[in-house]
Formats: sequence, C-alpha cells, structure tokens
Amino acid sequence: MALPWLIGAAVLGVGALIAAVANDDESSSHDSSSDEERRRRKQAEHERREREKEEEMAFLRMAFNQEGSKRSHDFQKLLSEWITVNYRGTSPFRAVLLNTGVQARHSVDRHFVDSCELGDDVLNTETRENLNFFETCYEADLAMTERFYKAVDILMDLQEQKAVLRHYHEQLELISYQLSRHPLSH
Amino acid sequence: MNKTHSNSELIKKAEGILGNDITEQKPTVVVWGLMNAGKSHLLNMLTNHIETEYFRTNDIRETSEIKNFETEEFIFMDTPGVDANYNDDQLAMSGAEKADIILFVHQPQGELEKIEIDYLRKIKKSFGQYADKYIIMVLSKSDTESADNIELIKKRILAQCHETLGFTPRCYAISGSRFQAGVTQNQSGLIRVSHLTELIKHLESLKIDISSIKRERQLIAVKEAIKEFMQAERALQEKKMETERNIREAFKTFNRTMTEFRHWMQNNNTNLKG
Repeated sequence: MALPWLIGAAVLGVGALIAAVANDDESSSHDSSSDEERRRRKQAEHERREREKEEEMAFLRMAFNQEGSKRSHDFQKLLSEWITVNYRGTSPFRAVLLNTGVQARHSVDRHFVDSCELGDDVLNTETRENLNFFETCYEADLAMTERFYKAVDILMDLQEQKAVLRHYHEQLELISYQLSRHPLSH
Repeated sequence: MNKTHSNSELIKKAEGILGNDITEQKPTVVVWGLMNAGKSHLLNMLTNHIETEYFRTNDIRETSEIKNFETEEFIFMDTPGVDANYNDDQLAMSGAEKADIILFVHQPQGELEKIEIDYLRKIKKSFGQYADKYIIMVLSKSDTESADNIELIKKRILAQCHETLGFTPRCYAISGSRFQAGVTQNQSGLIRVSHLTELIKHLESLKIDISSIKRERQLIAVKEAIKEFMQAERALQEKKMETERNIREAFKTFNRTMTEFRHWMQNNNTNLKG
C-alpha cells in the first residue's frame, strides 16, 4: 500500500503540471494575436506610404509635364529665326517621369539634322546633339527657315568656289615648280 | 566689282596662263600705247602693208579688239589704245600678257604721261629681268617735230624710264609716213631717215633668245596669279568663317537653354532616386 504522503505529492505534482500546461496555452494565444496586429499595422503603414509615394509621383509627374510643356514655347521662340518648330498636338512634351528616372520617349526615325544634311560643316556637334535631344523630348516637325537655307546656300557656294580656286591654284603651283626647275638662260 | 565676278576674272586669267604655249618659237610682238599714238600705222609698216591697211588707222578710236598678223618670223598683235574706256584697257592688258616683245608707242607731243608710266610699270614688272631688252620705246610720228625736239623728247622719255621705273629700254624715233613714202616712191633716203629698218633689225636680233623671255614671263605670270589665288582663297575662307560664326551665334542661346534643360532633367532624375 502506497504511502499517503507519496500519493498526495503525486497528485500535487500532476496538478502543477496541468496548471503549467494550461498557463502555456494562454500565453501562446496572446502572442499570436499581437503579431497579427503588428503585421496589419505594418501593412497599413506600407500601403499608406505607397499611396503617399504614388501621390507624390503623380504630383511630380504633373509638375514635370507642366514645366516641359511650358518650355516647349521657349524652344519654339528661340529657334524661330532659323528653324520652324511645329508641335504635334497640344501636349508635345514626350519625356516622362518613371519610378526609375526620367525617360525621353519620342522615337525619331530620322533626325532633322540628318534629313537636312546639316553636318559638321554647318552646325557644330553641340547644336546637332541638342537638336537631336530636343526631338526625342518633344513631338514636333522641324523645318529650316528661309534664312537658314540662305546661310547654308552661301556656305555651300563658298565651299564650291574654294574648291574651284584650289584646283587652278594647284595647277599653277605645278607649272611654277616645273618652270623653276629649269634655270633660265641669260 | 563683286567677289564672284573678280574670281571669274581670276579663273579666266589662270586659264590664259595654263593655255599659254611657251614652246612656240615665233615671238609675239605686241604694240601698245595710248589712243591715236600711231600703233596701227606702225604695224602696217612692220607687216609690209604699205599701200593697203591691214590694221585700220584713223584719228578716231579704230582698234577695239586685239588683231593679229603672222609673218614668217613674228606674230604681230595690235591692241586698243589705252585710256579710251575700261574694256579697252583690259583688252590691251590681256594683249600685253601674251607679248614676248612690247613696242610701247608714244607720239612726240612731250614726255610720257602719268597713265603711260603707270601702264609701263605694270608691263615692266611682268617682264622681270628682261624688261630692258624686250620692252622697246617707240617715238612715233618723228617727222612732226624737229630733229632737235625729237632728240630732247627721247632723252626725257629715257630719263623717265630710268628714274621713275628703274629700267633702261632702247628707244627708236621712227616715222611711218617717211617709211611708207620711201617704199612707195622707192626712195632709200626716206626709208633710212624713217629709222624703221633699225627697229626691224633690232626685232630680228631678239628672236634668238626668245624662249628665255617666254619662260621668264610665264614664271612671273604664274607667281603673280598664285599670289592672287591665295588672296582670293583667303577672302573666301574668311567669308565662310564669318557665315559659320553667324550660324553658331544664332544657336548659342538655344544651346545654353538646352544645357539648362538637360540639368533640369538630370535634377528630376536625382530627386527621384534620392
């Protein structure tokens, strides 16, 4: 027969064990709901930030477009004496703000400087590059003005004249060389 | 005169030089002088057109083009009298450019006039070291003045050549009329006092060394033309640079604005990434 004190101790032990297990269950359930809450809060915060970011981007895009469109008139005016700029549509500014950065989006089949054959002999590299860049940022038809045509004609004419003079000059130099090679008799 | 016109003149000049055949053995004698100096009459005598004129003479301006007559020994060339008009002067100068020997005819009303000296200076320059030998002063119509006066004028002309132009040409005082009368009337005395035969003899003596003067003149003309071409090319280059400058200047503000535009784009980029 078991000793009564031993039985009592065993009962107490089991009771304590049950109580401990019950306590653990309660604490676990409490932690799980707190994580969920945190996750939800985090998610909400993230969504808020995203929304704000989107709003900010939308604002920046709008400001960017407005500024780009405003500048289109400046360019048109600046070039007017030499190049006629006819914008296509009311919003010709084609550069866009993406999350990754600014992108000039208007693809040009043949740049104005190439189709008009405005090479290094007419425009310097900086101007040609700027005109090309302008065309990728703005959807526009560019055309040379009468004044520009005239200046280019003058340049071409001068180049042709120079080539003709050079041709005769070289022939004269050759004769001069040949005559100088034979000393004159006195 | 605009640049294009002057360049076409220059090209014409070059073509003349390039087409000049210096291997031609027959000397070209060009008669040159003021209007009514007696050039055509002298040529008629030199080419044996004693009774019938080949080169037309008159007191008014008769020669308005270059006219040639080729003998067995020479090519004789008449030129319009200078100082009549611009075209005649140009024509006379182009005639002088073809000459191996110049007979510079002056009628004995006095010493050389300024315009004659100016033209002589140009011609002399184009003959280089051969100017003394191949430019011959001819005092025409010597029968219209006394022998003493003719002698004085001759001395004065030679002094002008020496002092003003720095050369000493030969000078013949001739009388075409005496020569003509001498030939038609068969009077040797008249022919002798016309002094034309002396001039003819002298011309014949010059034939021997004609290739040297041809080459010398060609070389001088070529060098002169090269200088003019260089000048013309420089002028064209300057004009070209000026036009290029104007175009560059016209796009200066556009380029500046584009630089600023690119910076603005760049800033937007940076702001996004930041």
